Amino acid sequence: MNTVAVRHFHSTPQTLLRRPWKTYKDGTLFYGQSKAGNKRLPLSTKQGNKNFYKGTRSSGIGHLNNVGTYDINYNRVRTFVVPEDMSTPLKPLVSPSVPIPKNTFKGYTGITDGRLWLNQIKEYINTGNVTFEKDGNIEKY
Amino acid sequence: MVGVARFSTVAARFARAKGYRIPHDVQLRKPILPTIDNLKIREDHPLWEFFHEKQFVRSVDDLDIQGRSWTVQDLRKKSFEDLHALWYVCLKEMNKIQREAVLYEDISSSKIQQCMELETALKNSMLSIRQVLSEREAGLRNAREEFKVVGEEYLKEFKEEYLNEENVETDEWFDKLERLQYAIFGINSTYESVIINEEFLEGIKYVSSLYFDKFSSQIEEKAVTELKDIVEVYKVFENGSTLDGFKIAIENIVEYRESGLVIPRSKEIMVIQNLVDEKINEANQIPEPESAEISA
Repeated sequence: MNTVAVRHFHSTPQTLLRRPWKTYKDGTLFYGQSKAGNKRLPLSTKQGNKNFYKGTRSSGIGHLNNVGTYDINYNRVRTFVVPEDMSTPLKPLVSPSVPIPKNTFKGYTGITDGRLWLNQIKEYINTGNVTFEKDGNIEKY
Repeated sequence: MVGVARFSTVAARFARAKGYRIPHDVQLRKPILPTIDNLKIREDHPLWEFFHEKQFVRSVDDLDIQGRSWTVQDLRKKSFEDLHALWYVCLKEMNKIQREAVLYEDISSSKIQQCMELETALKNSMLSIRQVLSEREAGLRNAREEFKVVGEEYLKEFKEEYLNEENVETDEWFDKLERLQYAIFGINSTYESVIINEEFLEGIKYVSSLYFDKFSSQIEEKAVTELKDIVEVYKVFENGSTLDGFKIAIENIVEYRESGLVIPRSKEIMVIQNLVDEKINEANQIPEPESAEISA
Protein backbone atom coordinates (compact mmCIF):
# COMPACT_ATOMS: atom_id res chain seq x y z
CA MET A 1 0.00 0.00 0.00
CA ASN A 2 1.12 3.48 -0.80
CA THR A 3 2.41 5.22 2.34
CA VAL A 4 1.06 8.57 1.16
CA ALA A 5 -2.39 7.02 0.97
CA VAL A 6 -2.07 5.79 4.56
CA ARG A 7 -1.01 9.20 5.83
CA HIS A 8 -3.83 10.98 4.02
CA PHE A 9 -6.59 8.49 4.64
CA HIS A 10 -8.69 11.20 6.30
CA SER A 11 -8.53 13.50 3.38
CA THR A 12 -10.30 11.38 0.77
CA PRO A 13 -13.93 12.33 0.29
CA GLN A 14 -15.12 8.79 1.02
CA THR A 15 -13.41 8.53 4.40
CA LEU A 16 -14.52 12.02 5.34
CA LEU A 17 -18.09 10.93 4.76
CA ARG A 18 -17.57 7.81 6.88
CA ARG A 19 -16.04 9.83 9.78
CA PRO A 20 -13.83 7.07 11.22
CA TRP A 21 -13.03 9.03 14.41
CA LYS A 22 -16.64 8.94 15.54
CA THR A 23 -17.29 5.99 17.84
CA TYR A 24 -21.04 6.27 18.04
CA LYS A 25 -23.47 5.56 15.25
CA ASP A 26 -25.52 8.67 15.93
CA GLY A 27 -22.41 10.81 15.59
CA THR A 28 -22.43 12.30 19.10
CA LEU A 29 -19.14 13.30 20.61
CA PHE A 30 -17.84 11.43 23.63
CA TYR A 31 -17.92 14.69 25.54
CA GLY A 32 -18.20 18.41 24.87
CA GLN A 33 -20.07 20.30 22.21
CA SER A 34 -17.25 20.62 19.71
CA LYS A 35 -13.90 19.06 19.06
CA ALA A 36 -12.09 22.39 19.47
CA GLY A 37 -11.00 24.18 22.65
CA ASN A 38 -9.53 22.99 25.94
CA LYS A 39 -10.33 19.33 26.39
CA ARG A 40 -7.84 18.46 29.09
CA LEU A 41 -9.93 19.26 32.15
CA PRO A 42 -11.28 16.29 34.10
CA LEU A 43 -14.95 15.56 33.50
CA SER A 44 -17.40 16.02 36.32
CA THR A 45 -20.08 13.46 37.05
CA LYS A 46 -22.61 15.51 35.11
CA GLN A 47 -20.59 15.76 31.91
CA GLY A 48 -20.14 13.31 29.12
CA ASN A 49 -22.67 11.73 26.80
CA LYS A 50 -25.08 8.88 27.45
CA ASN A 51 -22.29 6.31 27.38
CA PHE A 52 -20.18 8.01 30.02
CA TYR A 53 -20.66 7.08 33.68
CA LYS A 54 -18.21 8.55 36.14
CA GLY A 55 -19.93 8.05 39.49
CA THR A 56 -18.59 9.00 42.87
CA ARG A 57 -17.17 5.58 43.79
CA SER A 58 -19.81 5.54 46.49
CA SER A 59 -21.91 2.69 45.23
CA GLY A 60 -21.37 -0.81 43.97
CA ILE A 61 -20.76 -2.26 47.42
CA GLY A 62 -23.04 -5.24 46.91
CA HIS A 63 -25.70 -6.74 44.69
CA LEU A 64 -29.46 -7.33 44.49
CA ASN A 65 -30.36 -10.91 45.33
CA ASN A 66 -33.31 -12.76 43.80
CA VAL A 67 -35.63 -11.77 46.67
CA GLY A 68 -35.01 -8.15 45.75
CA THR A 69 -33.07 -7.02 48.80
CA TYR A 70 -29.61 -5.60 48.59
CA ASP A 71 -26.79 -7.77 49.93
CA ILE A 72 -23.88 -5.65 51.08
CA ASN A 73 -20.44 -7.06 50.57
CA TYR A 74 -18.54 -5.64 53.52
CA ASN A 75 -15.20 -6.20 51.85
CA ARG A 76 -16.14 -3.46 49.41
CA VAL A 77 -17.49 -0.99 51.95
CA ARG A 78 -15.19 1.92 52.62
CA THR A 79 -13.76 1.86 56.13
CA PHE A 80 -11.79 4.47 58.02
CA VAL A 81 -9.13 3.13 60.33
CA VAL A 82 -9.09 5.36 63.37
CA PRO A 83 -6.19 5.26 65.82
CA GLU A 84 -6.67 3.12 68.90
CA ASP A 85 -5.93 5.97 71.23
CA MET A 86 -7.59 9.19 70.11
CA SER A 87 -6.63 11.08 73.27
CA THR A 88 -3.31 12.32 71.96
CA PRO A 89 -1.72 15.44 73.43
CA LEU A 90 -0.83 16.61 69.93
CA LYS A 91 -2.58 19.70 68.61
CA PRO A 92 -3.38 20.48 64.98
CA LEU A 93 -1.02 23.46 64.96
CA VAL A 94 2.36 24.13 66.55
CA SER A 95 3.15 27.10 68.74
CA PRO A 96 5.00 29.78 66.74
CA SER A 97 7.72 29.94 69.41
CA VAL A 98 8.84 26.41 68.55
CA PRO A 99 11.59 26.69 65.95
CA ILE A 100 11.64 24.40 62.94
CA PRO A 101 14.41 21.84 63.38
CA LYS A 102 16.95 21.49 60.61
CA ASN A 103 17.94 18.08 59.31
CA THR A 104 21.24 17.67 57.57
CA PHE A 105 22.14 14.36 56.06
CA LYS A 106 25.87 14.56 55.87
CA GLY A 107 27.37 11.74 53.87
CA TYR A 108 24.00 10.58 52.61
CA THR A 109 21.92 11.61 49.61
CA GLY A 110 18.93 12.50 51.78
CA ILE A 111 16.26 11.11 54.03
CA THR A 112 15.36 8.35 51.61
CA ASP A 113 18.93 7.07 51.30
CA GLY A 114 18.90 3.31 51.81
CA ARG A 115 22.31 3.36 53.48
CA LEU A 116 21.08 5.74 56.17
CA TRP A 117 18.17 3.48 57.04
CA LEU A 118 20.33 0.37 56.94
CA ASN A 119 22.86 1.92 59.29
CA GLN A 120 20.08 2.78 61.67
CA ILE A 121 18.80 -0.78 61.54
CA LYS A 122 22.31 -2.01 62.37
CA GLU A 123 22.45 0.39 65.27
CA TYR A 124 19.05 -0.83 66.46
CA ILE A 125 20.22 -4.44 66.38
CA ASN A 126 23.35 -3.56 68.33
CA THR A 127 21.96 -1.24 70.97
CA GLY A 128 18.20 -1.62 70.95
CA ASN A 129 17.36 2.00 70.34
CA VAL A 130 17.86 4.49 67.57
CA THR A 131 18.66 8.15 67.79
CA PHE A 132 17.36 9.69 64.63
CA GLU A 133 19.89 12.48 64.54
CA LYS A 134 23.32 11.14 65.18
CA ASP A 135 26.83 12.31 64.31
CA GLY A 136 26.27 13.58 60.73
CA ASN A 137 22.65 14.50 61.32
CA ILE A 138 22.77 16.76 64.34
CA GLU A 139 19.64 18.69 65.03
CA LYS A 140 20.29 22.39 64.69
CA TYR A 141 18.01 25.17 65.81
CA MET B 1 -50.94 30.83 71.37
CA VAL B 2 -54.73 30.91 71.56
CA GLY B 3 -55.00 28.81 68.49
CA VAL B 4 -52.70 26.17 69.88
CA ALA B 5 -54.66 25.93 73.12
CA ARG B 6 -57.90 25.49 71.24
CA PHE B 7 -56.33 22.84 69.11
CA SER B 8 -55.27 20.87 72.12
CA THR B 9 -58.62 20.85 73.86
CA VAL B 10 -61.25 21.12 71.22
CA ALA B 11 -59.79 19.39 68.22
CA ALA B 12 -60.37 15.82 69.44
CA ARG B 13 -63.99 16.55 70.44
CA PHE B 14 -64.55 18.36 67.19
CA ALA B 15 -63.20 15.48 65.19
CA ARG B 16 -65.42 13.00 67.03
CA ALA B 17 -68.44 15.21 66.45
CA LYS B 18 -67.67 15.13 62.76
CA GLY B 19 -67.72 11.36 62.83
CA TYR B 20 -64.03 10.57 62.63
CA ARG B 21 -63.14 7.49 64.61
CA ILE B 22 -60.73 8.44 67.35
CA PRO B 23 -60.30 6.09 70.31
CA HIS B 24 -61.36 7.62 73.64
CA ASP B 25 -58.02 7.00 75.30
CA VAL B 26 -56.28 9.22 72.77
CA GLN B 27 -55.49 12.62 74.18
CA LEU B 28 -53.99 15.32 72.08
CA ARG B 29 -51.19 17.26 73.72
CA LYS B 30 -49.99 20.72 73.05
CA PRO B 31 -47.70 20.63 70.07
CA ILE B 32 -44.03 21.04 70.85
CA LEU B 33 -42.73 24.10 69.08
CA PRO B 34 -39.54 23.48 67.08
CA THR B 35 -37.41 26.07 68.85
CA ILE B 36 -33.84 25.52 69.99
CA ASP B 37 -34.90 25.48 73.66
CA ASN B 38 -37.16 22.50 73.09
CA LEU B 39 -34.40 20.37 71.60
CA LYS B 40 -32.48 18.16 73.97
CA ILE B 41 -29.32 16.67 72.55
CA ARG B 42 -27.40 14.05 74.42
CA GLU B 43 -23.93 14.95 75.62
CA ASP B 44 -22.09 12.26 73.69
CA HIS B 45 -23.79 12.82 70.36
CA PRO B 46 -21.25 12.11 67.59
CA LEU B 47 -22.10 15.30 65.71
CA TRP B 48 -20.66 17.33 68.59
CA GLU B 49 -17.31 16.54 66.97
CA PHE B 50 -18.15 19.30 64.51
CA PHE B 51 -18.43 21.94 67.24
CA HIS B 52 -15.70 23.61 69.23
CA GLU B 53 -16.60 23.04 72.89
CA LYS B 54 -20.27 22.77 71.91
CA GLN B 55 -20.41 26.40 70.81
CA PHE B 56 -22.30 27.50 67.71
CA VAL B 57 -19.25 29.42 66.55
CA ARG B 58 -16.11 29.80 68.60
CA SER B 59 -15.13 33.13 70.07
CA VAL B 60 -12.24 35.18 68.72
CA ASP B 61 -9.91 34.09 71.53
CA ASP B 62 -10.42 30.41 70.81
CA LEU B 63 -9.44 30.75 67.17
CA ASP B 64 -5.77 29.86 66.88
CA ILE B 65 -4.32 32.43 64.50
CA GLN B 66 -0.78 32.39 65.87
CA GLY B 67 0.15 28.74 65.39
CA ARG B 68 2.13 27.44 62.49
CA SER B 69 1.50 24.16 60.73
CA TRP B 70 3.55 21.02 61.41
CA THR B 71 6.55 20.75 59.15
CA VAL B 72 8.15 17.65 57.72
CA GLN B 73 11.16 18.13 59.99
CA ASP B 74 8.93 18.17 63.08
CA LEU B 75 7.13 15.03 62.05
CA ARG B 76 10.16 12.93 61.10
CA LYS B 77 10.70 12.21 64.79
CA LYS B 78 7.14 11.03 65.41
CA SER B 79 6.05 7.42 65.51
CA PHE B 80 3.46 6.00 63.16
CA GLU B 81 0.84 5.97 65.94
CA ASP B 82 1.47 9.66 66.62
CA LEU B 83 1.13 10.53 62.95
CA HIS B 84 -2.05 8.49 62.70
CA ALA B 85 -3.57 10.29 65.70
CA LEU B 86 -2.40 13.69 64.47
CA TRP B 87 -4.04 13.10 61.09
CA TYR B 88 -7.39 12.60 62.77
CA VAL B 89 -6.87 15.57 65.07
CA CYS B 90 -6.29 17.75 62.00
CA LEU B 91 -9.26 16.22 60.21
CA LYS B 92 -11.61 17.01 63.09
CA GLU B 93 -10.30 20.57 63.29
CA MET B 94 -10.83 20.90 59.56
CA ASN B 95 -14.47 19.82 59.96
CA LYS B 96 -15.04 22.48 62.60
CA ILE B 97 -13.36 25.22 60.60
CA GLN B 98 -15.18 24.42 57.39
CA ARG B 99 -18.52 24.35 59.20
CA GLU B 100 -17.85 27.75 60.71
CA ALA B 101 -16.61 29.12 57.39
CA VAL B 102 -19.96 28.34 55.80
CA LEU B 103 -21.74 30.30 58.54
CA TYR B 104 -19.42 33.28 58.13
CA GLU B 105 -19.81 33.16 54.39
CA ASP B 106 -23.60 33.43 54.71
CA ILE B 107 -23.34 36.70 56.60
CA SER B 108 -20.30 37.74 54.52
CA SER B 109 -18.23 38.29 57.65
CA SER B 110 -14.57 39.25 57.49
CA LYS B 111 -13.73 36.33 59.79
CA ILE B 112 -13.87 34.05 56.83
CA GLN B 113 -10.35 35.19 55.95
CA GLN B 114 -9.05 33.78 59.25
CA CYS B 115 -10.89 30.55 58.66
CA MET B 116 -9.33 30.20 55.23
CA GLU B 117 -5.83 30.80 56.61
CA LEU B 118 -6.37 28.23 59.33
CA GLU B 119 -7.64 25.76 56.81
CA THR B 120 -4.52 26.23 54.68
CA ALA B 121 -2.32 25.66 57.72
CA LEU B 122 -4.18 22.46 58.57
CA LYS B 123 -3.94 21.29 54.98
CA ASN B 124 -0.18 21.85 55.08
CA SER B 125 0.07 19.83 58.30
CA MET B 126 -1.74 16.95 56.67
CA LEU B 127 0.40 17.16 53.57
CA SER B 128 3.50 16.98 55.75
CA ILE B 129 2.18 13.81 57.38
CA ARG B 130 1.74 12.22 53.98
CA GLN B 131 5.18 13.42 52.94
CA VAL B 132 6.81 11.81 55.98
CA LEU B 133 5.00 8.52 55.39
CA SER B 134 6.05 8.40 51.76
CA GLU B 135 9.62 9.23 52.77
CA ARG B 136 9.60 6.27 55.12
CA GLU B 137 8.20 3.99 52.48
CA ALA B 138 10.84 5.07 49.99
CA GLY B 139 13.52 4.72 52.67
CA LEU B 140 12.42 1.17 53.39
CA ARG B 141 12.41 0.33 49.71
CA ASN B 142 15.89 1.75 49.23
CA ALA B 143 17.16 0.01 52.35
CA ARG B 144 15.88 -3.30 50.94
CA GLU B 145 17.74 -2.63 47.69
CA GLU B 146 20.85 -1.71 49.66
CA PHE B 147 20.56 -4.84 51.77
CA LYS B 148 20.64 -7.00 48.65
CA VAL B 149 24.12 -5.58 48.01
CA VAL B 150 25.69 -5.44 51.45
CA GLY B 151 23.38 -7.70 53.48
CA GLU B 152 25.30 -10.92 53.02
CA GLU B 153 28.50 -9.31 54.23
CA TYR B 154 26.75 -7.86 57.28
CA LEU B 155 25.24 -11.21 58.23
CA LYS B 156 28.65 -12.84 57.85
CA GLU B 157 30.23 -10.22 60.12
CA PHE B 158 27.48 -10.71 62.68
CA LYS B 159 28.02 -14.46 62.61
CA GLU B 160 31.76 -14.08 63.18
CA GLU B 161 31.09 -11.77 66.09
CA TYR B 162 28.65 -14.29 67.54
CA LEU B 163 31.00 -17.24 67.15
CA ASN B 164 33.96 -15.37 68.64
CA GLU B 165 31.97 -14.36 71.71
CA GLU B 166 32.84 -16.61 74.66
CA ASN B 167 29.55 -16.55 76.48
CA VAL B 168 26.48 -15.99 74.31
CA GLU B 169 23.96 -17.19 76.88
CA THR B 170 23.41 -13.68 78.19
CA ASP B 171 20.35 -11.45 78.02
CA GLU B 172 22.30 -9.01 75.88
CA TRP B 173 22.87 -11.56 73.15
CA PHE B 174 19.35 -12.99 73.38
CA ASP B 175 17.97 -9.49 72.87
CA LYS B 176 20.39 -8.81 70.04
CA LEU B 177 19.36 -11.97 68.21
CA GLU B 178 15.70 -11.20 68.78
CA ARG B 179 16.17 -7.72 67.31
CA LEU B 180 18.15 -9.11 64.36
CA GLN B 181 15.53 -11.66 63.40
CA TYR B 182 12.82 -9.06 63.77
CA ALA B 183 14.55 -6.23 61.91
CA ILE B 184 15.97 -8.22 59.03
CA PHE B 185 13.71 -11.24 58.61
CA GLY B 186 10.53 -9.91 60.21
CA ILE B 187 10.25 -12.76 62.72
CA ASN B 188 8.53 -11.66 65.90
CA SER B 189 9.62 -13.81 68.85
CA THR B 190 6.01 -14.20 70.00
CA TYR B 191 4.89 -15.11 66.45
CA GLU B 192 2.42 -12.26 66.56
CA SER B 193 0.74 -11.84 63.15
CA VAL B 194 3.39 -14.03 61.59
CA ILE B 195 3.45 -14.83 57.89
CA ILE B 196 5.42 -17.85 56.80
CA ASN B 197 7.22 -17.07 53.56
CA GLU B 198 10.62 -17.42 51.95
CA GLU B 199 11.96 -14.60 54.11
CA PHE B 200 10.87 -16.39 57.27
CA LEU B 201 12.56 -19.60 56.15
CA GLU B 202 15.73 -17.70 55.33
CA GLY B 203 15.64 -16.16 58.80
CA ILE B 204 15.27 -19.42 60.69
CA LYS B 205 17.97 -20.98 58.53
CA TYR B 206 20.37 -18.17 59.38
CA VAL B 207 19.63 -18.14 63.12
CA SER B 208 19.80 -21.92 63.44
CA SER B 209 23.12 -21.94 61.57
CA LEU B 210 24.41 -19.51 64.22
CA TYR B 211 23.32 -21.84 67.02
CA PHE B 212 24.56 -24.94 65.25
CA ASP B 213 28.04 -23.59 64.50
CA LYS B 214 28.35 -22.25 68.03
CA PHE B 215 27.26 -25.25 70.06
CA SER B 216 27.97 -28.31 67.92
CA SER B 217 31.68 -28.03 68.72
CA GLN B 218 30.87 -28.03 72.44
CA ILE B 219 29.04 -31.36 72.35
CA GLU B 220 31.20 -34.47 72.68
CA GLU B 221 29.16 -37.02 70.74
CA LYS B 222 28.73 -36.03 67.10
CA ALA B 223 25.37 -37.60 66.35
CA VAL B 224 24.39 -34.81 63.97
CA THR B 225 27.00 -33.28 61.68
CA GLU B 226 24.70 -31.12 59.60
CA LEU B 227 21.06 -30.02 59.42
CA LYS B 228 19.43 -31.94 56.59
CA ASP B 229 15.99 -30.41 56.18
CA ILE B 230 13.74 -27.60 57.34
CA VAL B 231 12.21 -29.47 60.29
CA GLU B 232 15.65 -29.96 61.81
CA VAL B 233 16.44 -26.32 61.19
CA TYR B 234 13.22 -25.34 62.94
CA LYS B 235 13.97 -27.55 65.95
CA VAL B 236 17.35 -25.89 66.41
CA PHE B 237 15.81 -22.44 65.87
CA GLU B 238 13.21 -23.07 68.56
CA ASN B 239 15.38 -24.52 71.33
CA GLY B 240 19.01 -23.97 70.42
CA SER B 241 19.68 -20.56 71.95
CA THR B 242 21.38 -22.19 74.97
CA LEU B 243 23.66 -25.20 75.23
CA ASP B 244 21.11 -27.25 77.20
CA GLY B 245 18.36 -26.39 74.76
CA PHE B 246 20.64 -27.26 71.88
CA LYS B 247 21.28 -30.74 73.34
CA ILE B 248 17.51 -31.33 73.57
CA ALA B 249 17.13 -30.16 69.97
CA ILE B 250 19.83 -32.61 68.85
CA GLU B 251 18.07 -35.46 70.67
CA ASN B 252 14.84 -34.50 68.93
CA ILE B 253 16.60 -34.50 65.58
CA VAL B 254 18.04 -37.97 66.17
CA GLU B 255 14.53 -39.17 67.01
CA TYR B 256 13.14 -37.47 63.92
CA ARG B 257 15.73 -39.06 61.66
CA GLU B 258 14.55 -42.54 62.65
CA SER B 259 11.31 -41.84 60.79
CA GLY B 260 13.34 -41.37 57.59
CA LEU B 261 11.35 -38.35 56.42
CA VAL B 262 12.99 -35.66 54.33
CA ILE B 263 10.91 -32.58 53.51
CA PRO B 264 11.26 -31.44 49.87
CA ARG B 265 11.84 -27.77 49.16
CA SER B 266 8.39 -27.23 47.70
CA LYS B 267 6.66 -28.25 50.94
CA GLU B 268 8.86 -26.35 53.38
CA ILE B 269 6.46 -23.44 53.89
CA MET B 270 3.48 -25.75 54.51
CA VAL B 271 5.35 -27.86 57.06
CA ILE B 272 6.68 -24.84 58.95
CA GLN B 273 3.22 -23.26 58.94
CA ASN B 274 1.85 -26.38 60.67
CA LEU B 275 4.66 -26.40 63.23
CA VAL B 276 4.18 -22.71 64.04
CA ASP B 277 0.41 -23.13 64.32
CA GLU B 278 0.96 -26.01 66.77
CA LYS B 279 3.30 -23.82 68.77
CA ILE B 280 0.78 -20.96 68.91
CA ASN B 281 -2.02 -23.32 69.97
CA GLU B 282 0.16 -24.74 72.72
CA ALA B 283 0.95 -21.24 73.95
CA ASN B 284 -2.75 -20.35 73.97
CA GLN B 285 -3.72 -23.43 75.99
CA ILE B 286 -1.28 -22.71 78.80
CA PRO B 287 -3.02 -20.36 81.26
CA GLU B 288 -1.26 -17.07 81.73
CA PRO B 289 1.05 -16.98 84.76
CA GLU B 290 -0.66 -13.89 86.20
CA SER B 291 -4.06 -15.56 86.47
CA ALA B 292 -2.43 -18.69 87.95
CA GLU B 293 -0.87 -16.60 90.69
CA ILE B 294 -4.18 -15.00 91.54
CA SER B 295 -5.96 -18.34 91.84
CA ALA B 296 -3.15 -19.71 94.00
